[in-house]
Formats: sequence, C-alpha cells, structure tokens
Amino acid sequence: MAVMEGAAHQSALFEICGLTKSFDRHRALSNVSFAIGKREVFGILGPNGAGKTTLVRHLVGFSTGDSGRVYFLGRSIAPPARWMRGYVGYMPQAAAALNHMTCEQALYYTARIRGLTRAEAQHAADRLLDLWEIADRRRSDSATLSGGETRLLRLAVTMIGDPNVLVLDEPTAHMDARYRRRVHRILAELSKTTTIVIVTHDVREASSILDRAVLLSGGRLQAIGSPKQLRDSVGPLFAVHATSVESQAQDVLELLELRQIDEDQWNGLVDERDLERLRQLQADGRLSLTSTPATLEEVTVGLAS
Amino acid sequence: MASLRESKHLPSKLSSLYLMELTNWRWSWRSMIVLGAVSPIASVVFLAAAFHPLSLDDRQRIAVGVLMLAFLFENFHRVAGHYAFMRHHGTLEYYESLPVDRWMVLAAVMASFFTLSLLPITATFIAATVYLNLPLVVAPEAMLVLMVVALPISAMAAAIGVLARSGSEATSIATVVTIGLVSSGSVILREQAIPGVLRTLGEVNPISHAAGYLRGALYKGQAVDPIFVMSTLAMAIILFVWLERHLELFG
Repeated sequence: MAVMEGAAHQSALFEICGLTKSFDRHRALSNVSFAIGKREVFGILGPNGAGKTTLVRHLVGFSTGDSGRVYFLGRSIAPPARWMRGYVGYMPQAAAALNHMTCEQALYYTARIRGLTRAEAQHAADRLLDLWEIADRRRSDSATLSGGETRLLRLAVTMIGDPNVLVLDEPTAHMDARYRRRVHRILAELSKTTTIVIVTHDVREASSILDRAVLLSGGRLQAIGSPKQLRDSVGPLFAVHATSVESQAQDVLELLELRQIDEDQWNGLVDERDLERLRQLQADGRLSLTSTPATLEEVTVGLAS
Repeated sequence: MASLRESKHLPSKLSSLYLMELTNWRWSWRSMIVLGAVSPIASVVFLAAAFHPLSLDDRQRIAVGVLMLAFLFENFHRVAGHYAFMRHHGTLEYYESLPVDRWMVLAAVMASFFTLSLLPITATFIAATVYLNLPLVVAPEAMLVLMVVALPISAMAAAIGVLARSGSEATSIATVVTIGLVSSGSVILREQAIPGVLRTLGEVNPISHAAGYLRGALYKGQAVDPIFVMSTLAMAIILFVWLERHLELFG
C-alpha cells in the first residue's frame, strides 16, 4: 500500500518519528511517522485494533514507544509529560470516568485544578454547560447520564481552561445523530482557534470536519492526507452491489474479491477496469449491478483490509 | 503558544481533588453501613459470646480489633476497589490529563475515604464500647494513630487496585490481605492465643502496632510512641514515592 506524503508543515505541533510500540508479542504500532500542524483538525482513522488509541496515548505523553520519538512544539514527549498538561486537553476513550460528581462539580473542580480562580471556574462551568446544552443536567450525578450526555460532559471538561490543543478519543461514540451534529458544529467553531486531534473509526462523519487524517491499520500507517486525498490515494474506487447473479458469473465476482453477503447478493470495492468487466456481465444479463463512487469510509475499509 | 495558567497553589489542587473524591459517598454509603458498621458490630457480639468469660483486656482487644476491621474495610478494601475502578474506567487517565501529580491523587483518595470512614468507625467504636461495658479514658492521640496508619494502608491498597486485572480481583486480594492484617499479631486476640508464625508476622504488621497504641489511647489515656508515628510515616513516604515513580499506571 502506497503511503502518501503528508503535507509539509513548517509549523508542526506534533511530530511523530518512527514510532514503534509492542505489547507482549503484539505490535500495536510499527514505524509510524507523520506531523500535525497548528490549527488543524486532524483525524486518526482506522478500524478497531488499528493502533489509534495507542498512538494517541503517545501524543499526550501517557506512553513511551519501544523506538522512535514524539515531539510536541519541538520538545520530546516522555511520560509523565506534565509540562504538556497546560497546553493539551485530552478526552480518553472511557466514558464512565468522573466518579459521582455532578456535571457542575466536574467542570468546576477541573477548572480549579487547571488554575482558574473560584469566580472564573464558576463562570467557565456555566458557559460550558450552556455551550454543550447540558445545563439542565447541572446538578445530576454524572454516573446517571446517558452515554451521549456523558460524552458531552467529558468534552466540556476537556475544554475547561481553553487549552490550545484538544485530543479527543472517540468523542462521538454512543451518540445519536442529534448529539453528533452538535459536537461537529461546536468543534467546527472551535477549530478556528484550536488544534483538534480526533480519534475515530467512524470515517463518514469525521470526514466532514477533518482537514487531514492519517489512516492506520494493523499498527501501520496506510495513508495520510485530506479526506479527498485519502479517497484518491488508491485511485477511483467504486462501491458495487450485485444481485441476480448467474452461477457462471459468481466465479468472476470471487476473482474480483467481492463479498457474498446473502445467497444472491454481493458487495465490494472495484476499480474502473473491474467495474467495466461487471458492466459487461450486466449487459450479458448475467447479473444486476448498482455502483457508486466509494465514500471515504468505504475506501478506509478497503485500505485497512 | 500560551499555556493554560498552572495553579501554583498546592492546597487548591489538593482540596479540589479531595472534594472530587468525596463525591464517592454517593455509591459507597450503603456498603459503608454494612461493611463499616453492621459487620464489625455483629463481630463484637459473636466474639464476646465465643470467648466468654472475658477479662477487661480481652474486651478492649475485641473492641479495638473490630474497630481496626471496620477501618480496614473502609480504607484498605475500599481504596483498592476504587483504584481498580478508576484504572479500568478511565478516571486515572482523566486525572493523568490534569496538571497534578500521582501522589496528589493518592492523597486525595486516601483523605476522602478516611473522612467517609469516620462515621462507621465511630458507630462501631461506640457500639463496641457500650456492648462490652468498657470504661473510656480517651487520649487525643487516638485519632493520630488512625490517620498515620491510613497512609501506608491506602498506598498498599492503591497498588493492589492498579495492578489487579479487575475490580473483583482487587477486592478479593484486599479481603485476603485484610484477614491477614487482623490475624497477624495481637489485633483481636491476645498473643498467647495465636500461632507463632502469626506472632512473628505481627512484628511487621502496622495494624498490629496501631491496635496496641489505640487500646492504650482509647481506654488507658496513654500517649502514642513517637517512634511508631515516625516509622509509619516513613513507611508511607517510601510507598508514596515508589508509587509515584515506578507504578506503570497506564501501561
């Protein structure tokens, strides 16, 4: 798989150089290198087990690689990297993380720890409860919130003190479409002043707000670039769906590595040449075919596999 | 790039962490009543019946022994379980993302659970004293004994909680260690009544020494030996430093 050159960022915020990390015999990251620029909305994409969370834990100074380096503002990051805490707001993947604080307490106490005065902390808590539209849950025990509400609270807590960089691990997991739209709207507004790194395996939604993204699979960097560049990195691809397939045509579909999803239904990604072969089969009456240009999500799945 | 203001005031960070951890009363109050008060008080009744007739010294041992049991359930057992929860549910990552040191989190957890434990411990102490008809001659150092011994106990519990692979594993280990701590040395029973190996283990068991000083402070008005206080504090500092530097909390 060809790896695209990342955009050369003269003002790199994070630089990841040859990062390799193994757990027991499992290699979670393998010689990963790229850079994230200031004021970017940068995505870390890939299927489950791709190494996304392992990578992001290196970005925030929670882990150290077996080899390679991660730099933030030109300074090497090594745990516990407390010096970064003033710059970076990190939202971990786990949701049930705020003990039994009320929403207001979680924001207020976090603000106090981040160095805000009592008045500033209360103001920040009020502002973020309003911004994320959870003011009505102000006095609710955070353990009683729904999965989506908990994520909104965690996002609000991460933004306390207006950090320059937000690193968000699966920020929209367990959210319905309404909450996801809210998150995207607020993050888009925030991206004017803040660098945002988003870890997700939900490529379809992320592609709407990302400037650039890196695609990981099996701990390896598969591609890096804008969502459009990622789509184009493997040439024009088409998502095809074949039905009413005659037995002779099935051999061709298997050859093209399409997946049989039902007795008479096949799905997969094909390039222009293979699409032409399928169209010829359709013209011969051996199958029915629908095809659309592949979305980034479909390309991601294709690249990862 | 400007960084967020770092709070230079340690008390502000510690008090915020302490108040955050104090919110754990919301999940812990039911088990606090059962493990911290009902079980120890039931143990007083059982032990008093099993070892009847009891001398004054025996009754003092039983009262302080179950008080230590309540203390361990509320501090050691609960801190181990809480650390395991925090490890496996992302709370430690959340704390790690804040400009605080690990020892601050540990101190806040310890202080909050110690505070929460005061009510059931007091209830156990009053119930045991009344039931066993013990005369009180309380020295103010009694609280100091509990506060000092809570430090190494909580640090050990945090290590168990972080290293355990699940919450149930952490509390299971904590239960076994709790039983070991109350049965090594003269915590509940007099020394002559326990096997030699447990007597030997009791020499290095802080709970055994704490129980001895607590009996003196609560029922004889005796001052606490400063060497005990200093050596327990030294043990706690060593454990805190080790946890801060060597415990790989996040893999």
